[in-house]
Amino acid sequence: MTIYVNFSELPSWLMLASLKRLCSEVRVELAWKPMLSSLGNVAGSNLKPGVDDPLEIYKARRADARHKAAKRENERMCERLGIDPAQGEKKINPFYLSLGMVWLTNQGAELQQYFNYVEAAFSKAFRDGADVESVFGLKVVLKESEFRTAGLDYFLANEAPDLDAAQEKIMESGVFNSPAFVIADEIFHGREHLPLIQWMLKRNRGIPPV
Amino acid sequence: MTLRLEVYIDFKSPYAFIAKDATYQLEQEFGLEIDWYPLTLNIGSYLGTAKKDNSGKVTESSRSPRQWLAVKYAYKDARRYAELRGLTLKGTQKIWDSSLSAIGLLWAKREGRVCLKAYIDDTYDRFWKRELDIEDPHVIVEQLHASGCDVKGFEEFLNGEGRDSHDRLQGEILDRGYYGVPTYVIDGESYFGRQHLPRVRWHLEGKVGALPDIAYDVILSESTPAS
Repeated sequence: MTIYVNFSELPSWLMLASLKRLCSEVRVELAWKPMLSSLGNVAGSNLKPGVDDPLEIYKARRADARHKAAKRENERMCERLGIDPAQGEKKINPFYLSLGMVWLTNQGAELQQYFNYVEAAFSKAFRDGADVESVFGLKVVLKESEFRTAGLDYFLANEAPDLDAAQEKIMESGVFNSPAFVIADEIFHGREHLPLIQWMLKRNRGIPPV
Repeated sequence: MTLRLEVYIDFKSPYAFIAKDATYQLEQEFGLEIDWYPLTLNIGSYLGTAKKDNSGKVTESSRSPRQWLAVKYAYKDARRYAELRGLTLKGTQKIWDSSLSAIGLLWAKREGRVCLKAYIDDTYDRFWKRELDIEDPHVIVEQLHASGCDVKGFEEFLNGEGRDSHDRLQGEILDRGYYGVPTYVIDGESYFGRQHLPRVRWHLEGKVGALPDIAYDVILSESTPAS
């Protein structure tokens, strides 16, 4: 199963607890991939410029409703994570943390090391408000998660992949939100699917959670 | 204290369709009566518009590639859950105006719970089999009649009080902060999407313990009526 993580979005952090539970109950090989962005809200005007929009008032009311709901959902996510809602709203550039995940893969990291890294990365970014948008910040996260940094500078300078190009390919493959899970070419967006994924990994035994 | 649960639905939403039986299960589990409301989505306003012919070929579209990506995934996602439940969920050929079926829901509510449930079940079931033109007033009358509702006066209601009530309600719903379906509301707290059912249960149980995470983890009991 391939897991797509976006270090700028709380749902990827929240996914960890359910994913750890799944891994403790089912044997599964995981490939971890970072995402730099998500599709997000695709709502938009499909009218040509200059054309009056008869639904302008409706759209404004709906956007306001959506904003209220998103604010409340942020509060709920933060409640589960034990952080303040203001901490959850912090804007993070996930570039260096994403490189860190690629570094783990390059170094043949074990499952627990990925869990430690992702947890440390989110905690540093959102709970501590630390710098995670530089090589220095990345090294702090790697040290916090007790993962090696020897060779990292060389890797970043000479071997690191083009994450922007990788992001394009991810979108082209149909993965557009995080966390995402791809199993047997089937894409699942959102941690809410993990019960069904677990059922699939158990070879569809028992009643499906649907 | 009497538990009160409001649920907002739209017949043209595949996600609301597959959430229906799990939602009914809450009535059995908590001994409550759900207060159903129509939330008529204007999908074209935020996801663009498109039409397909009988072969599935797109004949008209104002959607951006990003909107197509989101729409195609949504149908595929809903369909995989529907198939596991034995439900038929055929992709729609256009974006429907579901307001007539929504006004039908308001009428069926007046007729009592048995009629309302029959109307909701049958309208969902047949619409997603592509057996209903929910933009045809006569079809809505037939649906209400088949659900055991007295339809005398419905056509006047559809063009008068029912339409006014529906349109007014849509504005009020948005102003309360509800914008998608299914939305569950308890004590003014709203939860959008069936992935929130663990939280809805937690809320109905008195918020004991920590707030649960979202999940599609519903196991339908054998006594839950199939669609």
